[in-house]
Amino acid sequence: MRARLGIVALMAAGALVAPAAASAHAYIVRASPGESQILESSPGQVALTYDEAVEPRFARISVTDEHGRELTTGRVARSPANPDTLVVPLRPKLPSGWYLVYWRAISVDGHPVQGGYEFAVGPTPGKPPEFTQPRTTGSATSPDAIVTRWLAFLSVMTAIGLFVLRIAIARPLVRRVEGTTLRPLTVAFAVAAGIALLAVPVYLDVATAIDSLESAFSVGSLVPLFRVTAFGRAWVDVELCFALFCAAAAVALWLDRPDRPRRSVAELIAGLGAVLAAAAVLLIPGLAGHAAQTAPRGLSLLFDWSHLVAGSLWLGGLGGLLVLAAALPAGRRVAGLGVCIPRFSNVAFVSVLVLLGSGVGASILHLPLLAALWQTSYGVAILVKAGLLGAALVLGAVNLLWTRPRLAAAGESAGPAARLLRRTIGLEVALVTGAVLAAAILSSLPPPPAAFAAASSKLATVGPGPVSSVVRAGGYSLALRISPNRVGVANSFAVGLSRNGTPVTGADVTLVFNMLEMQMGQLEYQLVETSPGVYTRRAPALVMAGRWSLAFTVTPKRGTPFSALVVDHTTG
Amino acid sequence: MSQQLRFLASLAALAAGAVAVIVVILLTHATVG
Repeated sequence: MRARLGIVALMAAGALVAPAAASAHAYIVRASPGESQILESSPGQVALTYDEAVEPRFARISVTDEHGRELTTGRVARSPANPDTLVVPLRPKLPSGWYLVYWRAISVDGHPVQGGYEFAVGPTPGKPPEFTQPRTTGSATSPDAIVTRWLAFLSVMTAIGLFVLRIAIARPLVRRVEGTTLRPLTVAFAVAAGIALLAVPVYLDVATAIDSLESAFSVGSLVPLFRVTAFGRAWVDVELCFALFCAAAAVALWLDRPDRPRRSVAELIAGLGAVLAAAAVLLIPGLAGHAAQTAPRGLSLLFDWSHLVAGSLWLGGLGGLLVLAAALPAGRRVAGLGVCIPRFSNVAFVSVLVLLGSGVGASILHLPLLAALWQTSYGVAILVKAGLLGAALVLGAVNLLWTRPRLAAAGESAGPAARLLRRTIGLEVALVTGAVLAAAILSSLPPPPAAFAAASSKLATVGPGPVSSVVRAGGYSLALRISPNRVGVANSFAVGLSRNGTPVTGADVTLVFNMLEMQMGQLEYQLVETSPGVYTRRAPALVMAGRWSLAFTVTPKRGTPFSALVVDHTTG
Repeated sequence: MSQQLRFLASLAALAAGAVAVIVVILLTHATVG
């Protein structure tokens, strides 16, 4: 008993579970006109080349002047010369001045990414104005996307778990306790499957609407876009495979005769078909998400799949036990649960072990640093999910070690124990449902990028708001100034370089930006010496609110080059 | 219900499972390459 308690306590303590991964998100490798470029004449179009072939129907490129007027004259299209390049036509003869290019694209894994930069039309564009970045509505983490994703996962997982409970775990109930039936479980499975068959296309519709910046109610124009991205294709396949699972499961349940202890060959074949389809369904979310983008892919996908299989068995099984507890006749409730619960406990025990193992494994694969757990929203979502599952595990342990023996010992007079069991299972279902919500949020969030690990060598954390602070590196003193340190405007970055109080002139200073909360392209700028020992640069590099790593590489005219890294927190 | 009908139904269920597996294999091939 003690050993078991120890294992359960260990599992609860180590409930760091996460079915998602790091990824590569689309970023710009070449832009024409280029960033901060001053053109002699008005350009006819803006062409942005990405690191992958992003879908033009889901991409947006806006070009605005300092008054926020839109200057594009047509839709975003793929360049005939290069499939990775998107082009948008511009009004002819733009007057002299500065312009803001703002872009938004959908990465292969379904995450929207965005950015912006400025260019000017000469000959005398003047000083760049403070542009305000256009706002776009909706993202993968907007509430409607999260709620529909949660419902889709919850219903698919519950249906699969209920099927396994009905066809395998609770099957002996009919033979062992007279006057009982498994019909309530079959009905619960049918309801969950029906909800899932609706929830999956609704989620696909909402996600596609967000990606294409259209209303979720314009279903007619969204349906043709369902199979445009890899993400959409995968979720269409989820619906197809789940429908096949439902058909196979319906046959398996129709053929099943639980009053006979041995199954016929037909029952076994139909059951195998349903299990194959269920296994296929649960592999697809990993293929559509971050798991397929993370090396080693095979291991990452195996973690994701086993995590979903174990979660389905646990969630559907618990839900099914609640249904049974409510549906069994009062006189047979204790005996009925006495048959099902020990069998389910064994499955749940293995499921929880697999859930923990795959979750911890996925976290190790996907988090660049342990500190990412509490320093990024992705990590916090993992902790919330782990906390909810940990609480569910404690309840499961109470059921296993305290309530179940009392139920068995007291026989038919175990009314109070049975009531307690129903309450704790109900609470466990609520906690696991919450954990699935946390997982839906988690897998919608961009995981922390590899740059996050490098940021552990930071000399200081600065921001939000205008920055004025001094850091020391390589025997030099760097007085940093960032203003206004806001998203979507050309911020001014300045570093006053001195040694023993004397300004250091003629040094080569570069500044590299890395977004620490999602994988984005790295941006590098050369700083210009504007007064003795002061190197500055205006740049619209902070294209997203959150933490950025700013790495200054300084090569003094005489002396050893050195780097100084600070983490800047910028707000919108 | 005849034995034959039961057996045919079970084969249909197995075929549904096999089709689902083929769909996922094709998707895996397209995604992971």
